[in-house]
Amino acid sequence: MRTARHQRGLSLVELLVGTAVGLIVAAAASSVVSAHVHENRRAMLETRLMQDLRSAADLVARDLRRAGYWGHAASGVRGSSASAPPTNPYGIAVDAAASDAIRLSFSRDANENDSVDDAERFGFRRRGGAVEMQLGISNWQALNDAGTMVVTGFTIEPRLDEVSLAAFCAQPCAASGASCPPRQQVRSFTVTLAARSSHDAALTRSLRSTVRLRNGAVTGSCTA
Amino acid sequence: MTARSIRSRQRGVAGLLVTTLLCLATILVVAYASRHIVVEARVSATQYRTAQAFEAAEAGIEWAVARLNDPARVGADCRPSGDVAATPLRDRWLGFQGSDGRLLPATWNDAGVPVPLRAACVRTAGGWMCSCPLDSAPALPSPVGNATAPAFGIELSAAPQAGIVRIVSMGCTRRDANCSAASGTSHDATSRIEAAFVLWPALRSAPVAALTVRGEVTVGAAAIGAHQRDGASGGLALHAGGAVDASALRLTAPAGSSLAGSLVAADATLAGLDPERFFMRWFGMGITAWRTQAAVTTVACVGDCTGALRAAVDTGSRLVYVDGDAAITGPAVFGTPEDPVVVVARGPLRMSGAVTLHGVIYGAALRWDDAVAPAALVRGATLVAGHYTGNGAPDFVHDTAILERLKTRAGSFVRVDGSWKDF
Repeated sequence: MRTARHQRGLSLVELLVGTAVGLIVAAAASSVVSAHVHENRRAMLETRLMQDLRSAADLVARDLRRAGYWGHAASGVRGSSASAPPTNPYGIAVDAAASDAIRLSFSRDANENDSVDDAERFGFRRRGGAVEMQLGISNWQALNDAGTMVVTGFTIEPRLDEVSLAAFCAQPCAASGASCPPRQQVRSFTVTLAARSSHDAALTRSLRSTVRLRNGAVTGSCTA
Repeated sequence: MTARSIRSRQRGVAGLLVTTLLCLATILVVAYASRHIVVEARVSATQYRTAQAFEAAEAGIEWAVARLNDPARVGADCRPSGDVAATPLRDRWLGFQGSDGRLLPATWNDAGVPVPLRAACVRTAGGWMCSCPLDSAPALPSPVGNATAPAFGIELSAAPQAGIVRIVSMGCTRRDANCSAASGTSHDATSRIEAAFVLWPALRSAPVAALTVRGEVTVGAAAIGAHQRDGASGGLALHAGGAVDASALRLTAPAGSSLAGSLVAADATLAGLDPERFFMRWFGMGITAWRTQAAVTTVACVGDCTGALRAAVDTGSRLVYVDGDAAITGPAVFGTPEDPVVVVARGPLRMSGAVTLHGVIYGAALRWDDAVAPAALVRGATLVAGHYTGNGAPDFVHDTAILERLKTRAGSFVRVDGSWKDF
């Protein structure tokens, strides 16, 4: 009986004030939550885009850097014998201008066979919304999921630095010789990869990396 | 008011509890929703470490080839050492197989098992710290705390071809056992890079004569000696492009060949070469290219170069270049038959007194005064791009073994195209 007397409930004014305060708080909270959800989604898309872009660019850079590796590189060094040493069968095909595709090869033989096998041909290109990597003679593998990331731009800009080896020629070059003196070539490529999220067209990112090929080559020759 | 009545008026304790719990739950949900930020941070850290390990391995390759080309004697910390018993790293790391000229990495005896010599460096707060001991594994301080400590470990491996060595560099973000094994935590990255280097010889082709003079030899009655005892090399003692005016010339020819045949004077082919081609004929490159190669030490001296040359050879240099005239005054000894030197002077050489040199000496011209054999001696070969004069009577002795040593062991290591790999 004593307990029942104390349970008085709320007055109308209390109820109204309580509801109003509650609604205001709920409204503020819901806007904060909705903003958070939106930001969160965007951040996740950005992360995913960056992640996809980075892994694709890393793969391109890593394989480009390896171009021209040859298991028998040492036999290409001119020794004391007069005969010309064998030349490196591996290398990279380069257009003078920037392009959106590149082909290269490097040795993966356990026992070097001095020839470019199908499994030693690599390349990169853009098809549709994906960057593709060549594995084998005609097998192209997408490096990204076009359902997550749409690649909008892929350019490979070659750069060639040459060091003259004229000081190593026994005979001076004729003035008009295009292949003389021999030059040591150092190649580098600027790879630019631009992409947008397939879920949010406004979300774009681009990545630019410069890759220097570690395996150079010598072109030209001395006059005999 | 009694305590009981106060308690009866305190309503909403349960509400407070529920609200607090709800807030906590909200915070947890928000934190959970932001876990991709954590993933992103972790991926970035991994990439950072991968790049660091790769760059450390690349630095290792460059460091190793620089050390191979550095003639300075070094101690166990890989820094130049004043200790005369210390050796240059090339001598320490590489053995030469006699007949076919192959380079063999040195080993040390690890409890009866031959183990290739290794070197390692670690990046500390005070810069890079290296270790290249002669008879043990590299000893470096272990990294403290959780900070990254990029390091690389170097090992040389033999190649089947003569004059070629492979450098294997392991880079890692925290050093452990010379970077050859990944260290404690799974966040550490390692990278392995390998490249081949060929010894570009200091002497491309061995001179066939003890004394090769592109111009004239004018010594009058001075009794210079030119000695050729090796029939296989073509048998010349003195080879001159111009006339030879030496009435008291002492010649030695290989056993069984004529004395007259060991002297060739007024050789138009030799005289027809310009000095640059003359240099290139023996050294395989122009004099400017030769002096800029890594293993060559340029000696700065005005007037008497004896002291400066002495100092350079004493600190380990075997290929010495003087940019201009050089005067060498005896008594002085440069090189030994086992450890010959090459001295190249862009200008004329003026020698006087008892100068003994084992190896090859080159000058734009050569004048040798006040000398008496056998204390005044060049054993190996002497190359003069101009004329030879002087009143001295030194000996010039052709030594095939010394020239062969210079051809196969002295020079600079240069990278072999197409040999770099990181897999």
